[in-house]
Amino acid sequence: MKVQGVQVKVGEFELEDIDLTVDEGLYFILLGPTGVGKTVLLETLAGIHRITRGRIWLDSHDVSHMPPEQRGISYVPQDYALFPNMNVRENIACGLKIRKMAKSQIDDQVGKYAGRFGIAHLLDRPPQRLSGGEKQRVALARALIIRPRVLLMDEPLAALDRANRGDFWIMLKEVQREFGVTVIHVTHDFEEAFILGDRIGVFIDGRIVQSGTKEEIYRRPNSLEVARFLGIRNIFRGTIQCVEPHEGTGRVSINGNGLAFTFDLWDSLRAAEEVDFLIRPEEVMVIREGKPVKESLQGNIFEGEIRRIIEKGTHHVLLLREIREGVVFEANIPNYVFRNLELAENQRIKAALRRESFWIIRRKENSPSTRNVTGR
Amino acid sequence: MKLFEGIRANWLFNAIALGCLIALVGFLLLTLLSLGLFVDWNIFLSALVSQEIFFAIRLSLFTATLAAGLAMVFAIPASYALSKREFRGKNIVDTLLDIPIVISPVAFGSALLIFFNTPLGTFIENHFLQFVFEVPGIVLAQFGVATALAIRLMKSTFDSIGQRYEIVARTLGYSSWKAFLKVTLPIAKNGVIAAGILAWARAVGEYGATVTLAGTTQMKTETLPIAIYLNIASAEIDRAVAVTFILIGLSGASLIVLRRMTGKGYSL
Repeated sequence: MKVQGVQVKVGEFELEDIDLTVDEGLYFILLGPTGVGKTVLLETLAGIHRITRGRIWLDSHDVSHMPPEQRGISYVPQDYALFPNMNVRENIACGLKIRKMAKSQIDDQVGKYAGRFGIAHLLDRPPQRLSGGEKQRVALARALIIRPRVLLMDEPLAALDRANRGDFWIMLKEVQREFGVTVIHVTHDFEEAFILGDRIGVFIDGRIVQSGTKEEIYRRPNSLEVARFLGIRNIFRGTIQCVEPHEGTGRVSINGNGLAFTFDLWDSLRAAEEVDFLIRPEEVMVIREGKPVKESLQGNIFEGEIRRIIEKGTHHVLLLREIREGVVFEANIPNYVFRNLELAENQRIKAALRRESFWIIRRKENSPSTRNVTGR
Repeated sequence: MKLFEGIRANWLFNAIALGCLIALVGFLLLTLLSLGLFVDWNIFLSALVSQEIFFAIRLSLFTATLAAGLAMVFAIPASYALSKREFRGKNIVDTLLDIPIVISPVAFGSALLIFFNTPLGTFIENHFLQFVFEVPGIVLAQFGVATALAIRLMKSTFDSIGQRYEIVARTLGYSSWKAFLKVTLPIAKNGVIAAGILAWARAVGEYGATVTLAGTTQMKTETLPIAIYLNIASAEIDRAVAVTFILIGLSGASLIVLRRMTGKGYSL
């Protein structure tokens, strides 16, 4: 599926210059905060809203102005929208019925899909008497039974308990592989996005601001707005002090003070350039007293005081205040390391930032097209 | 069991709220009771089988059913459009449609009467159908008020049905027609039936607009409300009361059917 320069206006939402390419059979996640028009975009792809500009291609066919019933795109909305006037069986069958398939064939297919999704015992129930998870399975069976080319899903797990989500993540991924269907899945949940997505598009303010693999989005957000949306901590404004192209390193200082760090150079950066840079909390290392320090950490060691310790279940978060300049870093420490080091609040420790873990974001005024910043 | 239940509240607050409720119920019951005490049942029965009242019942049932049927034919698509489509001037259209409900029925009837005195109205009267002081006039007057009521009720029904059902139906292969007929309309079924019943009840009780447009000719444009008026005017109070009872019976029956349709039922 290919979307080129699409513009659409629905009520208060105006989407502009939407470009998107989703390869066949891929699980694509559209990740963005709530209330920015992600649903409108999905509905536009399904053909519900008229586009005012641009083109939508499906398997090299231009479907821009094709009505939804001819596109071969299924849609599972957030509330699943199971028809309350039909029971589960009729809900699943209705897409085949409208295609005038023979009744015996419909029964056969419905049986097969109900079996696949574990809902065979629910076929005669009205949708009002299903749990959230059961509704989701019915909605999926109804959407897939017509063998769509693309499956659109809008926050399909939002209505489920957290405890059940893990099972559904696995099921969604299995279903996508089994049916070989191209999926476009909208969510605001990073965890969901990174677990399910083959590729992720970050959607903010009516635009897809970055699209790439999980690795690219996670480690190399192309703008501050993406980094902030992803909830990345340790984002600093800085100035490139110097670059050493032959050594492949550069040095960046945090603005307004003398604290500076060495990072692996990204070749087109210039000295004195203003940048934003970030380092993920899990890349902040606590140095064990008396232990030899790795080459890549040299030049990036600082002394800090532990201001707070927050237990997160899977790890501990330290708020670390650098002693000389008072800059606060967040560090994620695995539980076993935390226990071994016997860390406590107000304790002074040494920490280091790995030079290969820095990600530098050029300022927009320096580089008009930050979207092109893809490699290091 | 306590007499009244609900969240804990100040006794004075409860006393005022429930007091008003009891006063209103008492007012209605007293009115009905006085009717019941006043009526002479022999006259009531003879009135029931009198030719005039029988005519009024038949005419009322016929015109109200036709008017309510026509009202639904127009009101279902119109209220759907008002609920689910965006267009310029929608607010103005929405307000205009309420006019027959909010203005005095007599004023609405007068407006209709004046319309049939315009060149277009006269043309319609001369070449198609006569409305003024004729039975079609009754149907038109009833249709006007019943449609406005039906649109109001069905719009809120369609408003309460999310657009998602139709969107999903479209992606499953339904055309816009099929999605409406097979999905939205069946989901709206109870609301549509309720609107139909209330439109019918409103048409049966219509008086003001009917009188102005169709007049009060005995045994010609004499619907049940007009029969009450004619009998009171000629001091036939017993007959007027008898007709009043018939009207109350019809409205009461439609209210009972309505409650059943909306699944509320009755319990004591």
